[in-house]
Amino acid sequence: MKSEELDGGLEAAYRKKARGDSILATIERLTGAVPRVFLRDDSTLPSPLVKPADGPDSDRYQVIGEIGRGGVGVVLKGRDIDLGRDVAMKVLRDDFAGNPEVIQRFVEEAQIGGQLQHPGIVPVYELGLNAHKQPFFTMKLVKGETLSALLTKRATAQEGRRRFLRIFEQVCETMAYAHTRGVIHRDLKPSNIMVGAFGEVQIVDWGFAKILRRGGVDDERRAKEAAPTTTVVETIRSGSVGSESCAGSVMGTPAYMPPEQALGEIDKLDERSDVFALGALLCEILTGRPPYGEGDDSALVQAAEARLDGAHARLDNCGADADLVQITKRCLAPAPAVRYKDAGEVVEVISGHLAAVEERAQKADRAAAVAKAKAAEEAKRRRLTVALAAALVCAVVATASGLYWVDKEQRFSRELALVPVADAKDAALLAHGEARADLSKWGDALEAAKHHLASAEATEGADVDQARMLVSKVRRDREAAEQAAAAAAKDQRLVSRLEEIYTWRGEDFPDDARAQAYDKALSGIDAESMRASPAKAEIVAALDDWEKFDLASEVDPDPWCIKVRVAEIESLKKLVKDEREPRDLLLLAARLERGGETEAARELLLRAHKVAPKDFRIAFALGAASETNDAPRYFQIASLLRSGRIGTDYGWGVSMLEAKDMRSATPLLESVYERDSEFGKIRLRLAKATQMLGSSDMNAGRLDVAKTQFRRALELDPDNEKASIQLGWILFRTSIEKPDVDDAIEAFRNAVRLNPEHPQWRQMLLSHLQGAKRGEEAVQMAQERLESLSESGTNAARSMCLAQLADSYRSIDRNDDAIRSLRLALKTNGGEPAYQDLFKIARMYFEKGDYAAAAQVTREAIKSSAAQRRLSAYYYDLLVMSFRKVGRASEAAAAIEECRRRYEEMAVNWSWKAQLAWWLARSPHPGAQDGERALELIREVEKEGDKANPICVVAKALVNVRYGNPADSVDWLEASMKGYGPTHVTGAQHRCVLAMALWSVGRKDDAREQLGIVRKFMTTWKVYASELALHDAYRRAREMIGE
Amino acid sequence: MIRGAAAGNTEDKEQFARRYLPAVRAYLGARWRRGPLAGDVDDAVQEVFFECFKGALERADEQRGFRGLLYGIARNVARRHEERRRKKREFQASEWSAVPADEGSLSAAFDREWAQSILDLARNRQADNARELGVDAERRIRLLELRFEDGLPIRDIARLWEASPEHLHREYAKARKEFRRCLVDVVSEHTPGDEEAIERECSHLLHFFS
Repeated sequence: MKSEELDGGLEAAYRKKARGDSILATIERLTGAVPRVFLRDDSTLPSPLVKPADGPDSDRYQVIGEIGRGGVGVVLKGRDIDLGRDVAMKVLRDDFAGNPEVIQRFVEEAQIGGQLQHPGIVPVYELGLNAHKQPFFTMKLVKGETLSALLTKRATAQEGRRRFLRIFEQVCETMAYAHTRGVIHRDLKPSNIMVGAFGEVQIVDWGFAKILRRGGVDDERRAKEAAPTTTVVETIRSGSVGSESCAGSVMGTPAYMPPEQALGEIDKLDERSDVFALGALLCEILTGRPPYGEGDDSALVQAAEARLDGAHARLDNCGADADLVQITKRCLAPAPAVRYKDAGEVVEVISGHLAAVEERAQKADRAAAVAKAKAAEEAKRRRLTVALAAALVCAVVATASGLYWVDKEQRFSRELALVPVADAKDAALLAHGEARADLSKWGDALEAAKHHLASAEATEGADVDQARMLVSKVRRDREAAEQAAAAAAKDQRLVSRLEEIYTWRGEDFPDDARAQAYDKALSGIDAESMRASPAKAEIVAALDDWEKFDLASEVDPDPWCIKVRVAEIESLKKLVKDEREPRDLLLLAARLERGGETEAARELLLRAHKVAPKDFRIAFALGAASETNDAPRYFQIASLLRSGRIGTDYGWGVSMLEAKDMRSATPLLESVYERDSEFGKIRLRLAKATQMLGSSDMNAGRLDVAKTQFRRALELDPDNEKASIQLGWILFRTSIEKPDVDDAIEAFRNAVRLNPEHPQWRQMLLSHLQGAKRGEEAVQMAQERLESLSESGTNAARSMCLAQLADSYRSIDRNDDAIRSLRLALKTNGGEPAYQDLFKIARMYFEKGDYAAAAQVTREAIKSSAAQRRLSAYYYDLLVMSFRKVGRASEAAAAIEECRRRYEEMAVNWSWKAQLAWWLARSPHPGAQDGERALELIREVEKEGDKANPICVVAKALVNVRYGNPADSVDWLEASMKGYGPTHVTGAQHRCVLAMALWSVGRKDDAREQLGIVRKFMTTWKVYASELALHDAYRRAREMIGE
Repeated sequence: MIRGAAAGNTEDKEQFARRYLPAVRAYLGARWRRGPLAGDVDDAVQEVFFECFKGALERADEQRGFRGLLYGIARNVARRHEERRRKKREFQASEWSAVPADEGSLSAAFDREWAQSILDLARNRQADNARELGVDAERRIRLLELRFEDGLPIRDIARLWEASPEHLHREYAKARKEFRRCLVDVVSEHTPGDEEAIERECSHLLHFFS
């Protein structure tokens, strides 16, 4: 036994608890196997865990430790057991767990995080309830450092300024996105910004965020009511003085707060409040400190009074470019109207500044190289002329010294007059330089040059020609710059368009639409222009994608690529090992894929992606070529590379849908639909995602939510059969008082109309018609179907239809016809009747009053089922009752004993013990010792079994009500009623038990109400006489309650 | 316990069913997944144990080991169910394409779950022993839980417990040895043969998790 083997064994043994009742545990039970993959850790950065925690585990997440805590929440590190990844879990602090206002805000935080889909915002994975019914939500676990920590590490405020400005630019971009979605953060500060290992920047802690325009919540009012005395910190990572966020009368962090927020003027908060915080952040980057926090007064007081003199002084002396200081001051303006209107405007000015800096740096490099060359030339020339120059200087000095004293006063006056002209010239040159880096400043530059000319013209002795030349140079340069910018913008538009068309892949997009789009995008551009275009690489890629290989080869005559374009598949396969550029590999992969060599194509794309991870086309193609579970990752990369592109989002959303990640897919597809409701097959895709989401909600018992989802799915795609059938199912169950029978049946009919061959849809429609006492319609439908199958149908189909006809006859008490149809169904299919069929026939005999026949056929059913070791108390119940009806008491008693013996024989584990207890508790034929035995079994089941298993809980409740203390089970029974619809026979039976339990504990009105619901069910729904357990429970409940 | 169950002792029968149910269910689940018999797994599991208690257990001998016997019973019950199903009216040939023909992969599903059952027994045995040995041994169990259940490195546990990492590493080595001993004990109760055979069986069980 090797050491690493033992490690595996220890892990398997000690991980057992974590398997719990997770999805994987369920899958394991169903399939016998459980998938488990663990990827290598994606970062060497330290995990943010600060201490272990005893947080309550949910079914799916295992708590590992605590990351931090704030005013109302605790952030834990958790592990998603099913997916094997670490997550951050935010849970409410225990002391707020019962406060509905705080809970509502907490859920809103999760919803805001879940709906803001941007690389700069930590994605929320799931909102759920843990074992203690406390809400929690899980997010991506961000590994990295806070901006606060990074800023603190600097030796001086100048260190790494360019890097921090890039980070700041990303923060602004993220906030610009949030502002376009109508969300303001209200607590922006360095400790709420995480910087990852690869430079990715994410804004966290949206706990104070507010939704603008579409309502949202009155957060401060709610916070005041929720925690009137609380002034504690709501922040994951505490910062320096004044950087705590106050929950209570004022929310946010004073050191970064605009005056209107510090004064609690919540009505005035909008995007410009975040702009102020961005200015405060920029102030800290440039000067090392936020605007407030110095001096004796608290940061809150300083913020409320907008004491910004200190910050302005620091900014003026920080050595940053003047325009950057100006941007910061404008962000920090006390009056919101003076600030930039939102983060989008801040992005524009910051990006412009950074571009100008970049250009200046490049220019400086070039100028340095030119100056070096000139200096060498100058030195050479100077050596040749030095003697002559010396003589000349001596002569000039002699003459000048004679004239100097005479001309001194006049010269001084002229020079003084020329000073404003020189200043105007400097300003014009500076403006000219700035305009070359920023197109929008050419107007200023021209104005400055004209001002210089005017100044020169008005001043004697000034160089007017030079000033004129400067004006005309500015004009010329402006024209050239605008033309270049227009050409670049045109190229960029072309590239964007070609990339967009590239994303129209797969069956959702017709080939001719792509061809037409390419044709239109590239019309009017000849091969020569393509060759000369800066966008040549993208044009060639588009031509290859369009399969215009001749033109592509003309533009890009690389011999290897030409060969790839014309070669047959066998020749292509020989090229896969060639070392080529990533784009060449993309071309080869596309050709191989079209030749059916998908695996080879995928491998090539992986190779290309490894070399060029930021190549959008390669990432997207890899997503399209990857397996279901891998595809979303590559589409996500493509989406990050080209954020906001509709085709990319579509591909990503569809890939997540195919990977069954509906919670992520739905909002993304919804955003595509909002942008273009006719894009690809967005309606069908979104309908499918919404329907699947509805299924998930339905399975989780959130029926009202599911109903809305199904309606939405049908609105998007009226042909969605599943949504139709599930909507019908739900309509029957969402209202106890009055099921939407007609609407539900219409939904089932719609599903049958869409797919008449689907046996299950038809079965659902018929069984609900039968239950709703509309059996005549069911008979007619079944007969019509049978007729349509008489010539073309298979025996199996006819047999099934006959069985459905039998059920329909039975529902209108034509039991002879029903028995005949069922027997014919069995004969048509040529098999022996199964025990279920026999039992159904027995029930029909019972319902028509032929008890002797019922007893005989039930006995046959029991005999047949015994061969499969199947136990069913229902069979014995019917047998006993049939015997009793015909006065064969001793045979009835023997049947009871036989049933008991068989159950006892098998009761060797908790599951079967629970089943025995359940039978004893609901048996219409109780024995003298049954109560004691049932209670004993329940004790054993509780000791050994899974207490949450439905078999255990229902058995316990029934036993308690009949033999033990009903109060123990009232809560559970009440809760369990939510799982049953108004047409559920077992539900009605449990409702009778609930009514009895409520009566026993003195809640008499509630008991009567429950019994009333059952009475309504018994009169409006088709309840067969052979539903013995229900009739017995109803009878006992009525006797107890005295009706 | 197996002999006790074979003799009809209720407590042993219960323990037997609890211990081996996952392996039997895994085998049948893998065999019938997505097929028409997927809903019959519970019945078939019941039937396997029914057969065990009705005399099959008495056939467990020293030569074959119990794993092979239980596997054989599960396979026979599965085949019987399939045969029965074929005779029934719902049978359609196409449905059966979902039943995997490869018995090897099915036995792997069984063996994996079997291995998990044995490791669980070893863990329980170690916990029982620790209760007798005292506080230090129980603390070693907690150490293994933190290491493997919570995935914490020893240095983090040392920080958490305010203990020296060197000391905890020694305790960890001791805990591993204790687990190993328990595993060998449990395996030897299920598998006939000499030490070498037991060691081979242990490696066989552990390779599912390494």
